[in-house]
Amino acid sequence: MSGIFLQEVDDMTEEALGTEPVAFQVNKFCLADQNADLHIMPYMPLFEGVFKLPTQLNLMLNALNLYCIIISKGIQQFATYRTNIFARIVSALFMLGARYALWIALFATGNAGGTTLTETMTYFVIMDILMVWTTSNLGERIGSDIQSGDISLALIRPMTYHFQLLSGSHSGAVIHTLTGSLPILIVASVFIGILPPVSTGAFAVFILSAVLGGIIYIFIDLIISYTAFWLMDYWYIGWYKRALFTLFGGTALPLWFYPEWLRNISSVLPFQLALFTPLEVYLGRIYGADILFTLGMQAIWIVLLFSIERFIWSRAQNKIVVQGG
Amino acid sequence: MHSFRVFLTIVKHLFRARFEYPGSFISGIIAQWISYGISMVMLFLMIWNFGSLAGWMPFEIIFMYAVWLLSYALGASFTFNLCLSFPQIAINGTLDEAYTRPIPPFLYLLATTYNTGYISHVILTIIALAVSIIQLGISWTALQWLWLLLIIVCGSVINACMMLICDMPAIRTRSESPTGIFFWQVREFTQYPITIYPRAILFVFTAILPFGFVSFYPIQVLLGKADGIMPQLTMWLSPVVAVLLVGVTMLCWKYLSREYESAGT
Repeated sequence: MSGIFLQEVDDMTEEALGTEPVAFQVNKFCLADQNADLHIMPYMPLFEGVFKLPTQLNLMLNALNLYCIIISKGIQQFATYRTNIFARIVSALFMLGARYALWIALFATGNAGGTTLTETMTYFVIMDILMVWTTSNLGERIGSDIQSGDISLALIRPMTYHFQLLSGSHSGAVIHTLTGSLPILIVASVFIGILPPVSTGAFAVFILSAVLGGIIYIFIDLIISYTAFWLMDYWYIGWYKRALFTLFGGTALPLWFYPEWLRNISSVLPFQLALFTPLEVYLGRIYGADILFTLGMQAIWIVLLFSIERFIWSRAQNKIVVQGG
Repeated sequence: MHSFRVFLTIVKHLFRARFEYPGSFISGIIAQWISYGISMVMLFLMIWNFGSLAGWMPFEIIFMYAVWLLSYALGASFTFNLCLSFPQIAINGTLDEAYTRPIPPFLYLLATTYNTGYISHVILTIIALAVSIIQLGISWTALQWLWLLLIIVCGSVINACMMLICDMPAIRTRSESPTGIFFWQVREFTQYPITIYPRAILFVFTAILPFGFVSFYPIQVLLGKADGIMPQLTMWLSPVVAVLLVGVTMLCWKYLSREYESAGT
């Protein structure tokens, strides 16, 4: 069925090149892919005649296939601007140096309380990696899709809108990992000496908790982003989200530096569960039975946020007004 | 003079156009108040936890941050949208349009891309300035108040010019400019007393991306500080840096205009 609009998308691709945000181009690319001479992954129908794959599995493989194509296209596209890769790496390392100097100056006052410089730097370096994968700017994507009318095209594609959003933001994440967090991690480990996870078990829990945290982040992001359907404007949606995560989620300052009252407010909200809690597990600040409690809290919030998200989405779909895009 | 009047008229109409959608305009302003307000709270908490940073008290840092943000907002209100559009203006024909208008093309671009949203930063920073000035129990002479005004103007010019210089290559390359990436990512580290950084970074913030002259250096005059690293004279150099940068920006624009080839759109 996708063949119907393949041609159309293919025609648009040439115009779109260079004029639109990366994530959006990626989506067009992946559909145009089978017609163009840009084969990266073998396409599923190849197997179809040989084995009779169950439909469900077929769909999943198909989704995985599309996911890989979207990500590899994103990377290819980014890799054409080599100076920008260089600029990103240089500025990432520059920022690491500046941040290290800042915290050295702060710790030089001798009022650190119960934490160390190394622990704080580890917090920021690992936070950086987590943020690349969990923080998404779905608000801007959804908003611009609504305003340009592209959302009508996105909604009739043979994959769900949410899948397109997620793949798009992961293709950005791969790029940012390669040009930002990975160089930072390497340089920080060699020159600053960041802490390894406290134990193998803690590391496994950390990964699990980080994935759950990522899901929490995406649900919060989606819920906030849906306001675009009602407001018809979107550039400021991300501001609200970032502000909430800065204040309650510890993305700018570890929560252990907060005054008691603010810490208490943060602990009943879901924002700290997205990034701060996994890091506490990594650093060994949460251990033993508390780990189970933390994971439980994350699971409860996921269920809660998921139901809110589904509810609003069911309403939002009926709200779409395409402004002649 | 005529160009200037046209400029003001365009900006006036941009404001009127934004107010046509008051809901969206006000949500945007509130979003930025919350966002920057929280950044300020975080900055305050960070310094407050440790007592001071390089001899600067929490409210001194907030005062410096307010000047830093106000200068950025005033400068960026003129240049932010323009810089964002640089990769596209040659492709979609905006630049061709500017060349055919009866006012200088650069002025035309500045006016039509004026960002009205920065009014939120201005209101927020004026409140922050007032609070920190009261908290610090400051009593300045008229000349010192004038100096504050002057550094805000110079800071805006420095911010605007640096943004333009760093992002201008995008007109030619038609993609995000590498210097622009560097500019946007490292700028926020100049909200602290920059002498805490190693000499190499201090050098960058003084001579290459001269954000030190936006707030840190000139504010030492007002708060009676001396960093003991840079010569005393540095405190007074902001106006000179601003004038120099205007010159460099003009040269860059001249060069790009001479080399400009329309995409034929």
